[in-house]
Amino acid sequence: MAEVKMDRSAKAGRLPKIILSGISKRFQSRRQTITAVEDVNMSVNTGEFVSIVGPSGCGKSTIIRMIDGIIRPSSGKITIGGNEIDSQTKITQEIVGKIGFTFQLPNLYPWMTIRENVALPLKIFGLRGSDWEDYVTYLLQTVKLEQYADKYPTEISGGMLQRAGVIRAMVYRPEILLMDEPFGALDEMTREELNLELLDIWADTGLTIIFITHNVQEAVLLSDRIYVMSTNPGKIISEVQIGLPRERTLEMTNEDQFIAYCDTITRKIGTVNLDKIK
Amino acid sequence: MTAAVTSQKQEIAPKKKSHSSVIAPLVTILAILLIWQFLVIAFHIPAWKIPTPGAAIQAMFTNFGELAPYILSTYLDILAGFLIAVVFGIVLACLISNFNLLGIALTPYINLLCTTPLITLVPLLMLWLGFGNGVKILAVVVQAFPIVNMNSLTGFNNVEMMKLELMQSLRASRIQTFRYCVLPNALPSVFTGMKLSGILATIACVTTEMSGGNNGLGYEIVQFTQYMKMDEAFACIFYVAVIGILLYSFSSLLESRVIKWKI
Amino acid sequence: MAAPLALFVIIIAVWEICVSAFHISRTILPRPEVIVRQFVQNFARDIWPQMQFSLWVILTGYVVSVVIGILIAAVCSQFKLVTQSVSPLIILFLVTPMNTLVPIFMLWMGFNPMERILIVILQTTPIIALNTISGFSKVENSKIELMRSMGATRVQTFCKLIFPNALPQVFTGLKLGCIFSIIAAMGADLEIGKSGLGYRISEYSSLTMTEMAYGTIILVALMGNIMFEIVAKVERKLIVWLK
Repeated sequence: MAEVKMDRSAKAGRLPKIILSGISKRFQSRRQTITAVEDVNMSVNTGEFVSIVGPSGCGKSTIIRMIDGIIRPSSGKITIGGNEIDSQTKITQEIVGKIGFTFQLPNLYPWMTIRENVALPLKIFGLRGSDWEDYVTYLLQTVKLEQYADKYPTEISGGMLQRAGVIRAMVYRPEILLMDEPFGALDEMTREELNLELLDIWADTGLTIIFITHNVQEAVLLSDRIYVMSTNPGKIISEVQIGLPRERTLEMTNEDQFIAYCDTITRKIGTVNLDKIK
Repeated sequence: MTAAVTSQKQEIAPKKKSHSSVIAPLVTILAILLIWQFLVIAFHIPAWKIPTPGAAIQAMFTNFGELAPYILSTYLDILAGFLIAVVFGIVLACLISNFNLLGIALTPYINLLCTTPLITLVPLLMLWLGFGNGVKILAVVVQAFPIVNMNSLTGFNNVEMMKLELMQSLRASRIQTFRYCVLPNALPSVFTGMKLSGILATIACVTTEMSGGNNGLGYEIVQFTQYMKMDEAFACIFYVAVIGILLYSFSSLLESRVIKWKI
Repeated sequence: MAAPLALFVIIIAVWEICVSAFHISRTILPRPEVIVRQFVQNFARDIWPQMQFSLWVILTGYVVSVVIGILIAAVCSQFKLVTQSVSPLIILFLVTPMNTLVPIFMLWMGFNPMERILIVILQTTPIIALNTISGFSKVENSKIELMRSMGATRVQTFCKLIFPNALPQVFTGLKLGCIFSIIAAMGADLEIGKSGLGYRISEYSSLTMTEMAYGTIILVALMGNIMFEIVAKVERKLIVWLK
């Protein structure tokens, strides 16, 4: 079960993996229509690590759920690996089997052990066999959870739970990983640890990752590109290419270029907030 | 009505079951029995007013032969009614929770049934069906069904959004979602409902027996009291306590077997 | 909102139709219209005094149970050993129908209305006590430590952390207490007789005055429901107030 290191340069020039064009989402309540997201256009290439940053309520979670099909867009089109999805298309397990989703909270089921939780998607997709079971063990080893495999979620810490959440999203070998503020609820030290672990996993597997966070530093550390969003309604106001060298380290966060990127992005978010204060 | 009947407290750090949690209650019960025994003897309370616990427990054994048919009648009727109520209660809740409109329409009525003392139907039941075992079982089912149904329904309906989203993100089928997500999530509520159901079942059966008819422990308690045979009367009360404890322990035991995770 | 109402109308309509169409005897299922008419006719003379009596029994018993139940829980929350000794005993009282003591009480006290209140108290206090104990013990140790580390006094910890956290469980106990108290009261009525709404129902049944029996049963059902709703409303207000 050797993991092949993907050469990123070989992927350059391929078709974008995920394209969002003209995506809008409106929620209907009894009294009013709330536009959560308006006219969003994004594209993510295969193997890229893209972050979406923005203030709370700007629709980041909504966008990521539309890519996964948990929510359907009100208008616009999403293309994943060449397959077009609009508000009417039936989303099959085949499509979903290519996408992994990590929630804001670990979202593990308290009635299952860690191993059972991680293996749950395999049960849902009907993927059986010792190969898959070995892969579960491999993933648990990778994030140093193997000794807790038979414990229940209430018995281990938040950082370990979130690790379990991440490998659960990966257990069926998806091509895309959607992560909704996965480390937001953790303390700074654990978050930094997990950031680096995530970069290792990304380097090993060549997944396409869309990462949501409100932490600008985290986004700059992890990503190739960052989309900046405004709120009310949620719109993309800027796209920033992060030109920092790969093999990102924590030491980089003190360098001028890094800080400059953080400043630019923070200012972009900040100006919009001032304009939109109601 | 969804939370625990007893203190099933689970702390974040798992605690070892200490010896005192077993010894303390035993000591307390023993102490109370001894005090009871002492008071009756010391104050020369006549036997026709209140027996000593010793005499009552003795009567449980010496009169066993005579009491056996009544014990059997009561125990079997409670058990039968309880099992019917619980099975139907859980299955119906399962069905209702799957059909939104049905749930919305029915929930207020189930609520109404829960807060109604359904033993008030017993006189009518006796009018229609006489005094046999059937009436008792029916009374038990009628009183015990709503609460286990309500608690189970609440359990099936109250799943955290995020937990359901996980199933949605995997395009799980309805059955898969129920099996891996909804059902385990509901189990604590279901078991609370079961325990409450057992208590109400016992109350319903004994009350029915005491209001009419001539079988069952309830009837015997009335009879013995009328003839001032208090030893035997209390013996019957203790036998009723036994079935109450058995039902409750059964539910608790089943719960600890099925719910292996800490809540 | 519309769905339950629609169901209600449908039920009444089906009821009327079935009784007429299948010629169901009035002994089994009288027509709703007759029930209402007769009940209203006889209310003042036959029902109202018994209703007052039953209400008095239930409410007095309930209030005393709440007080005693919470007191027991308060004592238990201070001493772990007390909780361990006493909880199983409370469970014993919970699972044993206190109605079984009715003949005993009648022997001691005759037809004293107090015995009904006593039965209600004995049947209702355990469930309130147990749920209150559970509510107060459920707070996570880590949160208590946090309060202490911020310098909160015992009283402050109680008011700001333990009490609000315990409330949902306490109210579960109070709501269940409503159910148990009314069942205990009606059970006692059936067994003792002579007064109370339960007794009225049993009398009407034996006299085959089924319309009145049905009417009284529905009245008791409404009483139980209203009592439950009042407690639920208090709970909602309290939760909002505490936020």
